[in-house]
Amino acid sequence: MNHLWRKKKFFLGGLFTLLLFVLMHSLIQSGLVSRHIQSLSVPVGLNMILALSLFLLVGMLGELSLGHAGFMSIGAYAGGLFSKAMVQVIPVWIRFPLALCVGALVAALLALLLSVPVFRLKGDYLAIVTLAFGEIVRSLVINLPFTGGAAGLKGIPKDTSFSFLYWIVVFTIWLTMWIYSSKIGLEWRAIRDNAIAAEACGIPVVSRKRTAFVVTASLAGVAGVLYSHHYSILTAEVFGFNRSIEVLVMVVLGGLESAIATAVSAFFLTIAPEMLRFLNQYRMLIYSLVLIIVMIGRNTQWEKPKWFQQRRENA
Amino acid sequence: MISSQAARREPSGHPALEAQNLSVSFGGLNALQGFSFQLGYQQIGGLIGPNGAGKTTCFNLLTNLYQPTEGNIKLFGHEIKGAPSYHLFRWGLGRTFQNIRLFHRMTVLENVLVTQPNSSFFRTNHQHRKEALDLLDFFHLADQAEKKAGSLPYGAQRRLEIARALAGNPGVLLLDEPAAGMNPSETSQLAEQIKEIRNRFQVSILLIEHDMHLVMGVCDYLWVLNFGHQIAQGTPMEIQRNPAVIEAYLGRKERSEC
Ligand SMILES: Nc1ncnc2c1ncn2[C@@H]1O[C@H](COP(=O)(O)OP(=O)(O)OP(=O)(O)O)[C@@H](O)[C@H]1O
Ligand SMILES: [Mg+2]
Repeated sequence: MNHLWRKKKFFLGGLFTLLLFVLMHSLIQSGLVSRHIQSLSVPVGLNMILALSLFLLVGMLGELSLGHAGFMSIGAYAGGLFSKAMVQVIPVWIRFPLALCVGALVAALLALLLSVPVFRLKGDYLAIVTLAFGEIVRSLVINLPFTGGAAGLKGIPKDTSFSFLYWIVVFTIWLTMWIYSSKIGLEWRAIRDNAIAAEACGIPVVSRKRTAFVVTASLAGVAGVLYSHHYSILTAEVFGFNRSIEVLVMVVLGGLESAIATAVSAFFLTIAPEMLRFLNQYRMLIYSLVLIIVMIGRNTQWEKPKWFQQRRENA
Repeated sequence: MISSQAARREPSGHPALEAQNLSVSFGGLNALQGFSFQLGYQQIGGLIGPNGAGKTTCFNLLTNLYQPTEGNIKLFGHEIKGAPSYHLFRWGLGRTFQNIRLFHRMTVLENVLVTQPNSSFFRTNHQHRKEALDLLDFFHLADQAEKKAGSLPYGAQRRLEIARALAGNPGVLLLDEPAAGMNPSETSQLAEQIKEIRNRFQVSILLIEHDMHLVMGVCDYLWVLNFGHQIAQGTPMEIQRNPAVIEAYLGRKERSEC
């Protein structure tokens, strides 16, 4: 029965995303949606992918990364440079998927290199290392000869489209949900809840952490490729510390428990500043206030069972 | 190393678990000194002793949470000293913890699914869920399968920890104070269950417990530790009459009554 219900859910979900796509696509085609709203769809989609990928690490594995934008940056530049070099060589319909792969692979490779020493350390060193990593990537991009320096990398072919973005977002949501209930997702969450017990229950903690870190980074790389092929111009400043924190806020606000909640949180936090535009100079003030209130509201729900449990353990 | 499941089940002349001269010290404190034991196939052994005697430390050495300064450990006749904890679990050494260590934000069912050895890398399929539910049923937890593990009452959490270890299909099960915090009726139920576990899952069990009634009723053989040293071993009958044990326990009783 459970099995059938799952199939049904999968089918209904697929139908819903397809209908939503047709609806949004035809709205855009018919010109009923303003240019402004249309342009908003890009940051919304990118932030959803970024938040979901970070959710894998922060929500499921329980490790903190403060340099998520660094991996996005690597994906953006790697994919961008690839497409720029291949503009005359490969037709677009194969060039862009290849660029996505290149961005994801390069980000994954760097994550793998980084993960070898990091997860040997005991304790919460990942936050510090990723923080430094993000800064290193930023200054490298400014100083390397082939990234366009501070002026930026220009002339990346605009290979992406709304359809690409939409289906990659859908894929990311599906992938995250699937990982969540798969064996590997169970293992990540077990590590998050109690690493010592996880190890004693047959889970190779260090190697699982590496896997999670690499998957997270490669998805951020994909977001980067989408970014560079939409805006066509890249500067290092776009992928700074602020962006990493922005994405982290989306993930934390999403509740760290569900992929859908994370995606919804990313959606609203991206459009919120736009919605609040009528407040003029008070915009960011109100935005921060709303954020603080929501966080407090969410936390009071959380703390209670934890406190309860601790009392029990002491007894 | 230990290849087939059958190797864990068939007596092959080796004890299921044995340790020789196991020792460890923490900054001058000899938490365990030259402790040796042999746990036979499908035997239920008990490790008892006053607080701080080194019982939990012994479990932590056996599962490689601590590295022994000296000694050897053999599981089904194979040397396992230094092997990582997760390998030990896969080779058939399951354990529970004195201070419960569940995956508290996961559901009861997920706690069991995650340790199943044969479930695929990806989805846990229908068959695995059914096996997991059967196991939970044995521990009277099936109707709470979708609840968060952290929300269960204390006794149920202890039982879930045993279920989680058993889901890995172990040959040897280490239980650290399984009855701690349980009320008398839960404790006597647990005593029956421990024997049932041995028979049904064909495991050898080594248990640490302060509840003497449970220990004497369940264990085939006992080792007594005090201040890191073994002071006695034998059947429950022998241990009850052993003067060194009586002294260690009465001494403790007097202290706690002050
Ligand atoms: N990681 C550690 N670092 C330092 N000392 C430790 C450590 N683990 C245990 N000890 C010490 O080793 C001794 C034995 O502790 P252990 O936890 O094995 O006792 P126990 O027999 O399980 O007692 P209880 O019945 O109270 O659980 C204690 O004095 C304890 O303080
Ligand atoms: Mg103990």
